[in-house]
Amino acid sequence: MSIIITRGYSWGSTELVTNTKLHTLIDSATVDMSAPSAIGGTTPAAGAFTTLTATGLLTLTSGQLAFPASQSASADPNTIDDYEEGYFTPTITGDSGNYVLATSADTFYYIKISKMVFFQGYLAVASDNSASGDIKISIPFAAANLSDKADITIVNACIVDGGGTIPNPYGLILGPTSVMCLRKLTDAGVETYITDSDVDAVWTIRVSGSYVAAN
Amino acid sequence: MLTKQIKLKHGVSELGNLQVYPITEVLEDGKVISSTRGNPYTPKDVNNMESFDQKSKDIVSAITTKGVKDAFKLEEQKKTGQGIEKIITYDRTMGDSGAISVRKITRIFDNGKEISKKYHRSWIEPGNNTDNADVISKAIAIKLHTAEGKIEAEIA
Repeated sequence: MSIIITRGYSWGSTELVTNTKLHTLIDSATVDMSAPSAIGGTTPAAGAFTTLTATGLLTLTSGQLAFPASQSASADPNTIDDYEEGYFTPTITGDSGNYVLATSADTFYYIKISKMVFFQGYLAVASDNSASGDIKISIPFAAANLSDKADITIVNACIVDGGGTIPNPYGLILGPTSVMCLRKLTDAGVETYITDSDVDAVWTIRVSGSYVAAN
Repeated sequence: MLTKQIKLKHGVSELGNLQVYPITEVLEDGKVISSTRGNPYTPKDVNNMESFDQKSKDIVSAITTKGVKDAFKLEEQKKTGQGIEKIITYDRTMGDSGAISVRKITRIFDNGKEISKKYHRSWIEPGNNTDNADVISKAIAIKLHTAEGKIEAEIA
């Protein structure tokens, strides 16, 4: 293993460098590990770095990779800057009014890796609270507003017990909103929104998809 | 033509502190071609916020009233460090459309050591019922979403 220590530190071959001292030397400095090695063998088991650069393979032999609780956003297109997973309680609304969800089926699960959001879940509408117009379902994070309509995303959606035949239903996400519209596509290729008139007061929907978030 | 503008995004931390995120945008002919989010900052003195934007002032005025601070203290769960404990906190970020993204954080501790953390997100949109929201999210929603809150902010 060879270590290059920056910030004015130099590596002395005649001085005995203890783990503690090495830790002090490399803490908050830039470390370049140019050969495969493991921190924790002859080097300290833990350390804090401002920048850790590996010219070779960085292997987590039995460890994990943790990110901060709040995203440390990077504009660099080669940098992963966020990871989060959890539950999300969506709302289903119309142009006015909303649908009330059963508490046993009102949740999505999401995983966010950098700007990419994956989500899935099952929603059961228990009642209609004067919903009218195009049906929309909120999504965990606001969608990105990308150039040339690249933010348009199609999401798998299956509507069951809606009370009628809804041909080829799907979700449509358009940045920069934080909702998914429901659409249907006829065999003739005509695409329209799914509205309150397409469903009863009680219905269910199963959803899985992904999209690019704004951050 | 290239121009640069700085926009602010807002959030409120688990501890109930305003967090302001500067967003630096570069525009070409009025279209955003680059957007970079900086690290958040918090006002050192909530009584002196001259350098902050109106939304920051509105949020701080909403979450620093005596009633909200007292209710936040009551809502706050203190960790004892004894046995198994479940502690719930919330943080929030405000979207461009005015909606508030609320993240509920549930931590499990075993003799003071965190052994589990889970997130549950939801939105508070303008017009949504906030009866079940946490104290600070509710205060922000009242301030930013309701006519009464907006009028108060304008008078202040």
